[in-house]
Order: sequence, then structure tokens, then C-alpha cells
Amino acid sequence: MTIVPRLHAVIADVFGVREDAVTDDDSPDSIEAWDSATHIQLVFALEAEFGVRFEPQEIADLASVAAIRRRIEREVTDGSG
Amino acid sequence: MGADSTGRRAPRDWHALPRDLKPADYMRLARQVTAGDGEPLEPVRVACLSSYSLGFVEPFLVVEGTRFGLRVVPYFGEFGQFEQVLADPESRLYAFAPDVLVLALRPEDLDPDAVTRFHASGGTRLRALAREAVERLARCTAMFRERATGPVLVANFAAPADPPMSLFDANLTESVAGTIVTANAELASAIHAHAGAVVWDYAGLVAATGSTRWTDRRLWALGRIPVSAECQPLMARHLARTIRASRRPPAKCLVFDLDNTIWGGVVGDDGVEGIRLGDDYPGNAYKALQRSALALNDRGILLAVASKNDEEVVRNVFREHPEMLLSWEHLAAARINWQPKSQNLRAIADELNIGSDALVFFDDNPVERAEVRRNAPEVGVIEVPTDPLDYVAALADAFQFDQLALSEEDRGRSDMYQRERQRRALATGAESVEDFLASLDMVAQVGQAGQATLGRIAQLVGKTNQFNLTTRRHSQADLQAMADDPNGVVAWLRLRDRFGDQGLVAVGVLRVAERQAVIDTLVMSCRVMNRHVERALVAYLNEHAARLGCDGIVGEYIPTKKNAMVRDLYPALGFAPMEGDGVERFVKLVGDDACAWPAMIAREDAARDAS
Repeated sequence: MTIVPRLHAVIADVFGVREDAVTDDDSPDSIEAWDSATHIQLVFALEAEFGVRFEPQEIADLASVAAIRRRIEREVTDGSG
Repeated sequence: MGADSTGRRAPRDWHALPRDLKPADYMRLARQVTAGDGEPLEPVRVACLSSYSLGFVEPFLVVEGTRFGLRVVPYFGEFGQFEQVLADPESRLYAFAPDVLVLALRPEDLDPDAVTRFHASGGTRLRALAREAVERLARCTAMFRERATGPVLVANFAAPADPPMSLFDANLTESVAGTIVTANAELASAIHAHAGAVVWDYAGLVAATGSTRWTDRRLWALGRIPVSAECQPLMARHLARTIRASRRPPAKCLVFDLDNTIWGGVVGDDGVEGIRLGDDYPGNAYKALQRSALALNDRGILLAVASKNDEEVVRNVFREHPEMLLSWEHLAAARINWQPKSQNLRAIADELNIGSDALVFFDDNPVERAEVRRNAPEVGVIEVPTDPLDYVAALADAFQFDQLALSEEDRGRSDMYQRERQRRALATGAESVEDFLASLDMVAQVGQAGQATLGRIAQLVGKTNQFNLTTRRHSQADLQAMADDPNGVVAWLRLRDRFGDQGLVAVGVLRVAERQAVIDTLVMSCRVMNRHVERALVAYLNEHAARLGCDGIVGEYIPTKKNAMVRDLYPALGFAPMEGDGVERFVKLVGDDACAWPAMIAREDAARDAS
């Protein structure tokens, strides 16, 4: 499965929002449940879903769906290349 | 069953959740549990006070709680706050009205140097810190007890993953690890002084999981979370299990199956010598399970058997198999018959005078487990893995036996039940055996060998070891010749009962010479022992002896290593001993009806060459 639907499913599960309503533009500003504590839950969930490991200094930068998508796409491309 | 805000449906049976879930699954499922979806769960309000960020366990704890029938409603205090909230009757803790309090304090959170710079003070700083932590936790327990009655679970102290002077630590009389071990013993004794307070064995969990794997330095650095994402579900499962144990008494009785459960193989087919049990693979897997069952018995859990087998065959294994750790005397009750297991479990509960919800059932056969789940849903059923090497772990995972305290009464309970059982067996034994046989609705069909039956007859004659009077291994051709001889009879008996057709289970061969009929061969499947089937077959042979004009019928017994169980068969059937020449011979008059067809078995006569 491609990255985007899986990513949207994780966002929906972690924050309790509708999967089909998640967009690239979503961030802590648009999703109420997305705060500093649940951000760490999101990191757990992303690492398990995509088999990636985020460096501590980049975790704070994963502050929107678009940023997370680009970061995971880079990993997958690097991994297969 | 409702759908949550993500639009996905909740599972109906929480206890059937897969073991491995991803973090995102936990977060989705936790909302569904909290919303009250799915099968009913027992709500329990759990307040946690900790010296570190424990709140990340919330979705894991909520979901893992469902495996133990709990709907956990958690509350997490600000980290590092204990006495402030416990002393204040107006605090949010008491407003939450907890059913259970969890105290999780790590000494290294209070003073990291006490561990890391252990040797700066020759260890005295850590010892003092640990003692202070113990006293503080005991004080917190007492403060809670003044205002609330629910259980208090106090986490003990895990040894740090990397002690200072790592390799050296274990070589010291005063070590970090040793100090922690001593502190945990002091903690247990200080906590047990308070009613309803118990240790939550966090240290044991960390050690079993591996302290290196336990921690993710990023989570500790970013959020004071000392437990890795991978280990959060393990911590949650362990805590939920401890919460359940603090509120529920342990199950009282383990009821296990026999074949392929406490020994390998099927004793009815394989015989006592053929079952797998011993110190080598695969017998050692079954022996290990027996040892674990005895360990449960040591702490007051009763042991009982529910098995589809012949009781005499089973008793023979208990009596004669040298590798059996379990003895018949360990069993508080046994139901060895062909009734459905759900009925036998309820009968065992009645006999022991306990509720059937206090039983836990261990059976390798998924069909039997399903039958019990459907017809006796109150019984705990262990999901037994297919590999016998995993049996011991499955029994250890049976949370129904969890027990956080052990009394003198627990230790003596098994003996008490064994004495009671012996007393009852003497009082009621004989009558119930006859009742049981009558309840089987047995029908025996008898006939003489023909083409359709000779193959099975030769197989029984060739393979039967135990219920075999002479162990003469006649070939199929020999049997054919004896059946065709006008002075011979090859007779068979087929049995069915209310549970189904048991098949062709017994064979007798008669040779006539000089007005005497000699029972050359008498064999029977051990599956139908102790049901008077042999009596029926001998009565049938007796009729043939009369038909052939004989005055007497002679039974022979040739002892072997395996057929001692039939040594006294002919005397028991009313035959008188004769002078012997290596073969033991017993005789009776043909007209004598002491060996009549048994009343509890109905009879059908097959036409020759039918069947």
C-alpha cells in the first residue's frame, strides 16, 4: 500500500479523527487532540507502522501531515535505492 | 456495538483480541473501550502516582485491561507528586474516587547520582535512598488507607540496565544490584503490613523482558518516559493483570485432559509403554507441564482430570508409568468417561463443592475447548498452543490462578481434598459404577468371522498386548482356516453405545477337541475395558461350545510382560483352575450359567458373513 492512506489511518487512530477527512495540511493547529504529549504517541505509532526510526532532534519538526509524509517518503526512497 | 469517530467498528469480543497490536491500534481501540463498545467489561477506576511520566501507558492499559475483563478508567497524577495529593482530601485524586491506587517510584528519579555515582559513597547513598523510598511508599500507602479501601499496588525497584563499573558490579559485596534486591525484600515486608496493599512486580517484568530493551533513550530524554514504545504494551498487560489479581480470588481448580496434554500420544491406542513422557524430547515437554501443575497444587490449587478414556487404562498409567510426576492421589476429582466435558466439569465442581466458575480447563483439543466455552461459559478456558513446548508458558499465562498472598490454609488445601475424596470413594463406589454402565446404553453385536471382518480380526489379534489372554499371533490366513474348520469358531463382538459406534472391539477363537472347547485366543481393545464386554463374548463362545456338543469350556492364560491385567479373568468369570504345564488352564461346565450374558448390554446376532 502506498504511504498516504497508511499515514492518514495512523493520524485518524492516534487523534480520533475521521480518516477520510485527513489532509496534507493538517497540523496541531487544525487537529485539537494533537498536542506535545500526543505527538509522542504519534511518533510511537509512525515508527511501528513504517518501520522507521526518527532522530530525537527531528521529532519536533514532524509538525504537519505534509512534513511527516515527506520524511517517510524520503526514508522509503532511500531504503529502496 | 458502535463505531468511533474514525468510522471503524469495535471488536465484539475483547478477550479475543490478537496478542500483537500496533500503537495506532491501541489508540483507536482504547477510545472504543472507553466509549463502552463491545461485550460488557467490569469498570475499574485506577489512579497512578509516579516519579516519571507514566501517562503514556494509558491507551495500552485500557486495551490490555480488556483481556482480563476490565474496562480501566485511568487517572495519572503529575509526576513526582505523592504525599501532596494523598494527604489532601480535596485533591483531584480523591475526587476521581479510585478503586485501585498504583504507586510507581523509581529511586533513581529522586537522586540519579545515588545509582550512577554509587561508589562515591561506597554505596551508602543508594542504600539510604532505597530505605527512604521504602519508608515513603509505606507512608503513602497508609495515607491512602485512611481515606479509601481499595487495593494499593506498589511497584518494586528494577535494577538499572547499566550499573556503574558494569562488569565489576556483580563482583562486589556491596553492589548496585544487591542493594536493589535487598530494598525490594524490605519493600514487600513494609507494604504487606497494610491491609490490601501488594507489590506490583515491576522489577520482575523488566528483568524478564530485558532491561536493555526496556528503555528507549530518546523517550527518556524527550519526555521522562523510561519505558520504550515496544514495552509499553507489556507493562500495561502486566499492570492490568496485577489489578485484576488484587480484586479477584484465584481460581480453585485446574482441570486437565490426559492424552497429548500431560503425556504425549493416546494411551488407548499407544499403550502405557507407547506414550511419550520422560526426560528426552518430546516427553520432557509433557513432564514439564506436570511439574508446573504440581507447583500450582503446592499453593492450594486443586488438580482434577476430565478425559475421554477408560479409567482403568488411565489408572494404570498413573500406577505404572515410571516418568509420571502426578500421582492419582494428587487428583481431587477425576471424570474419565465419554460424557461431554462441560458436563464433567460441572460434575467436578459439584463434587468439590465449589462453583464451576472457579475451574480452569486445560485441553489440547480445540473442539473440546469450544464445547466447554459454549456449554459451560463460566469455566476459564486456557487457549492451549499447538506446540507442547509452549504448554508451560500457557499455564503460567493463566491469570485466573494469580494470587497475591498465600495462607497456611492454601498450602494445606490439596491434602484436605484428597482425604475427602478417598472417604467418598469408599462410601459410594460400587453403586455408581453399575449406574454408569447402565447409562451407556450399550449394544453388542456378535457374529462369526467372514470376509468383511477378517481384516479387523487379524489386526486385533496381531496388535493387542494388554487384554490378550494367550498372545497367539495368528495370521489372517490361519484365522480364515480356523473359521472354515467345522470344529473351530472365530467370533467377534462389535459395541456401540450412546456416544457412538466403538467398532469391532473383541475377538474369541474356539478349538474343539474331545468334547472340550478351548478358548485359544481372547483379545479385547482396552477402550472398552471394565464394561463387561469380555463377559458377553465368553457367554457367546459358551453357546458355541454347547452347539458343538462340548461338555466343558477351557480358558487359557499365558503370562507375558504386558498382560498381567487379565491374569485373573477366568477365575472372575467362574472358571476353576486345572493342572497346568506352563499354560494356566481354567475350566467350567458348558451348562453352567454363572457366566451369563451381562444384563446391562443389549444383544444383536449378526448373520454369518454379514458385517
